[in-house]
Amino acid sequence: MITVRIPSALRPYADGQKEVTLDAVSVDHALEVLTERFPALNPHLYDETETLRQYVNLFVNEQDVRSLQGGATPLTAGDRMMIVPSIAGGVDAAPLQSVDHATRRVSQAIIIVLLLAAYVLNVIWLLAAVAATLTIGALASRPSFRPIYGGL
Amino acid sequence: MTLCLPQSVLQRIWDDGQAHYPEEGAGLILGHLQGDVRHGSSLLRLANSFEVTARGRRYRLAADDMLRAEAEADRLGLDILGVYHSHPDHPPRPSEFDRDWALPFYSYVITSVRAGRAVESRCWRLTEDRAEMVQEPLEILPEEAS
Repeated sequence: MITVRIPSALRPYADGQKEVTLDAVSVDHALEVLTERFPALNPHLYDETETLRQYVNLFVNEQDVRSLQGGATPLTAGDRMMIVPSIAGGVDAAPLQSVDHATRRVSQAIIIVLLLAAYVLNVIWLLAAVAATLTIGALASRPSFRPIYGGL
Repeated sequence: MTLCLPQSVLQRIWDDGQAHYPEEGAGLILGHLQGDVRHGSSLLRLANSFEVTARGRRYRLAADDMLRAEAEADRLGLDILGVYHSHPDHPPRPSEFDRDWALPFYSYVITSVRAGRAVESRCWRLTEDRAEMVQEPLEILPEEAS
């Protein structure tokens, strides 16, 4: 006989039992016997394709079976198998920010005009002013010349 | 099913969410079950083992940590009632990813942390058919009543 430890999340589907003793020769066999005895466990251990759910981890004598022989890991009398869920979650992907194309085009037009003016008139401070405005806009994550566009 | 938490336990959940911001923080809620009421009495703070670059929107409690947590709950004579985690700059609603990974029975307390400050917690539970997560009552008890 081996002992299977049921995690608290799955005990309601195993008549509330914390541990179950059963006869099994391998990890897969133990799961088969377990789900035959407690059918309500099945949908929480296996998905629709009868594959173990991604959160199910199996340990034999505190060794992860993935580092042994997986489901084929042999069991002998006195072994202790544990079903351990891993937990995960998180937010949905961040919503995409809408792009104001009109503002962007006006900003680009202003940049081109100012750079041309700086070149034609040979005004270095105008070039510096454009560079500074673009830097501030990049740091603020907004179109650099939006205040001008907003005032038009 | 109602989850009851002492104010101090909720505060620790909020503190944990704020400490991990802008990443997600997570852990387990321990306590005992009394009929349809779950009384959370303590927390087990666990590391977020998700890849570093994705911890802003994902968390994972590793199987090894869960193994130790089950042993610790046994030692304390308590049950693992659920999981808490934070949603940085997102509402305290479960995502599709939350549902995919959710286990039945557990209560999932999600805390919205906006600009580094915890602002709201809500409690959710996976339906038996695993189709959705439904909100369940979260009752906060003043310290003298806990």
